[in-house]
Amino acid sequence: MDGTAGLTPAERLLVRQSPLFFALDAEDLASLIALGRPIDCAGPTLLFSQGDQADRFYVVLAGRVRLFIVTAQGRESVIEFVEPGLSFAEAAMFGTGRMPVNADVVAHTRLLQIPAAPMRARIAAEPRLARLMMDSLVRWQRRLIGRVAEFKVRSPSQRLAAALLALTVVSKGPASMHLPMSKTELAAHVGVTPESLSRAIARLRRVGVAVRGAEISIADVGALSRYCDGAAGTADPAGPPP
Amino acid sequence: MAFVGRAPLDETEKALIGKIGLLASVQCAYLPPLLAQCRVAGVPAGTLLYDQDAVAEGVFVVLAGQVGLLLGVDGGRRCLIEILGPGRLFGEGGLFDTGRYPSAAQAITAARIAIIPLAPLLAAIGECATLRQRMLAYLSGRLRLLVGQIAQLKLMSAAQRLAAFLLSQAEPDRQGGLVHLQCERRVIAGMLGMTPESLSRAFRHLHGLQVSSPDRNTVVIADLSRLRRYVATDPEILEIPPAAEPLPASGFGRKCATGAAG
Repeated sequence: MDGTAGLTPAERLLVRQSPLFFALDAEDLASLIALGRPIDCAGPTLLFSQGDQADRFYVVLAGRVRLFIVTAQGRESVIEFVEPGLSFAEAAMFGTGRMPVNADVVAHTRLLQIPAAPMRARIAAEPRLARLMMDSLVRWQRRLIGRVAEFKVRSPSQRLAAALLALTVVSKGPASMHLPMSKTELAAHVGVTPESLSRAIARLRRVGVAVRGAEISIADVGALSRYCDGAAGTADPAGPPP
Repeated sequence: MAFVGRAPLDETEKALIGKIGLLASVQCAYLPPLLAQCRVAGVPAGTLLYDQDAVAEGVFVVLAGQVGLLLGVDGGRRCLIEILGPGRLFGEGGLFDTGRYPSAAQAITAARIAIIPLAPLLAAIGECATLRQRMLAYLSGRLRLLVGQIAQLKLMSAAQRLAAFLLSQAEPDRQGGLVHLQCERRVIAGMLGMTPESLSRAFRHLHGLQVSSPDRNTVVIADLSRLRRYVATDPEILEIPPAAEPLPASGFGRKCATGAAG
């Protein structure tokens, strides 16, 4: 077995960046990828239903997966869309052993499916490998906590400012650039509706940001950076620590 | 470290800690000596249990009261990430990778906290396959919850986020529910990612959904299912069951601490 399980090098890189495998070296990663197989869903496909046995987990290679529940009223409620490079169902596989949600795909999606039994056997036999997966999960946790804080502390226009600053190469003075994504993608990245994005863009005009189509100019990167770090919603629960 | 557990656990506390998802029904010889090394302490509101990036000395379990996890943001301010009540484990992020806590933990109310020390816990994880799998389940479950929290912040309105928070804290009473707010509204606003003014607006908005606030620390929800429909979801998916860490069935009162902080 060559450890590629039919994955392209780019796909193996995606798997390596996923929450469970982040801290693994190439050899360990190949041995785990070799446990699984790629699955191609050409169109709408139900992957599993709530209550199913959690005897496998997945990493998304291309497309996206919808995790949802069906409410008592029979309505579908989406919990999350899982994008390429992210995994799902591993918590259920390690935990209760039952899938807590339903998962399906709407359009063409490619997945790596890894069965639970050999995964559990490796974890039982190799504490070192389990520790590396724990390292991976904790590193991801740190990243997500930062993202949660960013959402809590920054307003939509501040988050847009942060996204634009991430695209500039200079740290002060004027800057101009070409937006490397569509407005819809930018809105999703910033975490707002397209309408709110327009409002945020309008608000940034006051701090010297001009948007014409995909061309963006910033009058003063330093001023935008200060706007981005301004107060929004921070608080200490009990004042400063003693 | 600011927090030093003094007393060993009594038998009741040992039983309670044995029920948290990470340890529940784990049959391994390493567990009794691990529990014997746990320490417990009562702390006043405002006590910093550990600071962000401090070298980890163990994981903690809330036995009574409430604890806030805080992340330092620009300008030396702190953002409240999460409020944890009795039965919740925290500090696990310090066990692995860098060995430092990813956020700070501070008692929001007077609290009773147990610490499971680092070295024996890591040794037990190294020896016991069930415990390894539980820890992986717990950490994966934590990631799912954080992803869910980000989705809420991205997609829900301020009033919906407040409703989701109130539902997560409510003690059910017939078809309604009661929430005791144990920290200042300013703090709750920060945790929900809104200004205090937006929080007031959100509360006013929820009045229309039969959510009332007879005093500053109490919220009455007259119709829980109506509020659930408002956040467009069933109660269980607001907190996708982490599977690894259910609250203990009994033993912990929700109203264990008095005196809101600050």
